[in-house]
Amino acid sequence: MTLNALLQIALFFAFLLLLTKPLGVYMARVYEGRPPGLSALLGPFERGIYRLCGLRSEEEMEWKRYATSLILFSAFGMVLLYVLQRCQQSLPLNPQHFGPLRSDLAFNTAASYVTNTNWQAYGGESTMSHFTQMAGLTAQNFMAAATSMAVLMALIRGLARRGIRTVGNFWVDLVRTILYILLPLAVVSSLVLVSQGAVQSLEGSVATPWLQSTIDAHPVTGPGGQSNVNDRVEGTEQVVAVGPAASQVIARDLGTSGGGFFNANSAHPFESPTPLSDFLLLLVQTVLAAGLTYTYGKMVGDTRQGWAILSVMLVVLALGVGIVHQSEAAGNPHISELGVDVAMTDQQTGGNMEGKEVRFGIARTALVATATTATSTGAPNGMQDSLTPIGGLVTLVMMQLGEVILGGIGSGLSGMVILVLIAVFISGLMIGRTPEYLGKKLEPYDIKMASIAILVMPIVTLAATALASMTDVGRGAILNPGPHGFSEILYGYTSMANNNGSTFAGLNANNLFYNVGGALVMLMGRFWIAIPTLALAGSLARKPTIYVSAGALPTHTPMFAIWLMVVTLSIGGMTFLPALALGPVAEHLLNFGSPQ
Amino acid sequence: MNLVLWLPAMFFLGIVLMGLCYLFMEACEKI
Repeated sequence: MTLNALLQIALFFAFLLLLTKPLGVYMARVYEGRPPGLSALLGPFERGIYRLCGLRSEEEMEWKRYATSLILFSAFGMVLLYVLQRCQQSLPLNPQHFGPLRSDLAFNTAASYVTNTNWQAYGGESTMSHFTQMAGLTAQNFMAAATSMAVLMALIRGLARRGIRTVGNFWVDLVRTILYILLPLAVVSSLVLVSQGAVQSLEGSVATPWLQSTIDAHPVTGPGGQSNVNDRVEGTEQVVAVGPAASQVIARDLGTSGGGFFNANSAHPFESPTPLSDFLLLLVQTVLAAGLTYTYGKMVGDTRQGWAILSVMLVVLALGVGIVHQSEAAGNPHISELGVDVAMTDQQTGGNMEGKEVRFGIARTALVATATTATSTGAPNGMQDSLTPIGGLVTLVMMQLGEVILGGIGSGLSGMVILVLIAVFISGLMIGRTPEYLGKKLEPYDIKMASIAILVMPIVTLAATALASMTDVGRGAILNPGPHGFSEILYGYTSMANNNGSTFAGLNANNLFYNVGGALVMLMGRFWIAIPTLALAGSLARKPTIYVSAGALPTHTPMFAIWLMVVTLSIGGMTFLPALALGPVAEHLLNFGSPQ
Repeated sequence: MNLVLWLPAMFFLGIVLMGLCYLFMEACEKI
């Protein structure tokens, strides 16, 4: 690894750690009802929303009512987003006169944004009107993220409270998340992004002259199957799609959602024009998830618990970044065989630069590819499909761990806390003690809920992948044969079930089978995990405090952090290893194995 | 796309999904 690459990666981790505590303290105060600084400005808005909606902010909810509110809110958002897409031709801000989306595609997109997945089976700049992008997609980027944060808050209260049946008020958590956390950060970050050259406009497109006239060649296949270039068009100008991209991109990354304004996400120069904007977007999509670990520690009364969890997340993330970087820097043997010079010199970065932006290079692409799959954002700055098999494997693993390595804001930490409970339970079994965590005895019901929350994602992912691999319609969407094609299906469903939303590309998923099936996978991957998590929160909140004896397992020590990492990697590894062996591992062996 | 087919299908699918979520919630309570 070059010094330049090392510095870029180290700088990211340093900034992330620096921002963790201040943001964590701020968010803890927001959820405790005393937001610092902004309450004078936004307090009247908050109270106005409660009055307008007839909400009583002091009213608390039991877990089932909390879960019902979450489901109803999401169902309403899904119907609204579906209608917006189907009727966009009759709504304002449609300068390109886009027509309605097909029903199955609108259904998939509505499920995708409501579940914070933001899987995009469409091209944003060629399908969605500005109104749909702003009122539908950008709004859901915030609202779906806020519901994840609400679930986390219920879980934290469950651990922090003693002998109480309630876990908070869903609507209050939702409003506070959007008003005090997401909106202020989005406004500031959007302005910084615009300062770097990201597009923010209500125009549909602009025509711009080329610097040099060129020939646009259209290859035409001849009758004998040969490829001819016989249809040449002289071109002097091009039409470039623009729109309100900067605001959506920030909302996308802040909410770890991932639905870019343009289909190419952060690889598109209008979304992320400079290395500085790339760094900003990377920080924006990770910083809240990191800050929440401190919020967690503060709210449960022991900040060391949060640091222990964050250390596990960052170590696994750093490992992932290192492996992807080394794999990409080593290059692709098939490209070398073509006589392409892939050596690193003063003039070029070397390695596997296919699918990577030259302005970002290998280090930044490795960093973003890993972080954006680890955080459930799914907004890469390069082509995931062009990663080497091992690079692609790491991005798959980051998702298959359950999006707990930082993860989506709220959902990532919820998943990690559940893994902590599993780690405590397993260690309790090994030493023959009743498992306890933060002064609460873990009983069979809690472990059942934790197990359901962990098992839903792999079951849904593997079942859907198997179904697609066995059917003609599923296999027909693959553009690459062999193990890589299987990886594309596996990546697609892993991304959907984990609410990540990034794609390997190479999978032509905009058809009835993938749109409807994928929507169901996304909905199950979201709500069938949120419900047992809330049930767990309700159960934990009802428990009284027990006396913590000297024999209790300390959960803030480096030893426990290592144990947690082992449990996390073991669960993900054991579940997905066979599938990974059929995809990226087989592809790696085919690429690098000795020819016989 | 045939709306006469799709609109009721979407509505039905929505009801089924909500019902499944509710049943799942009840199951989590009772397990």
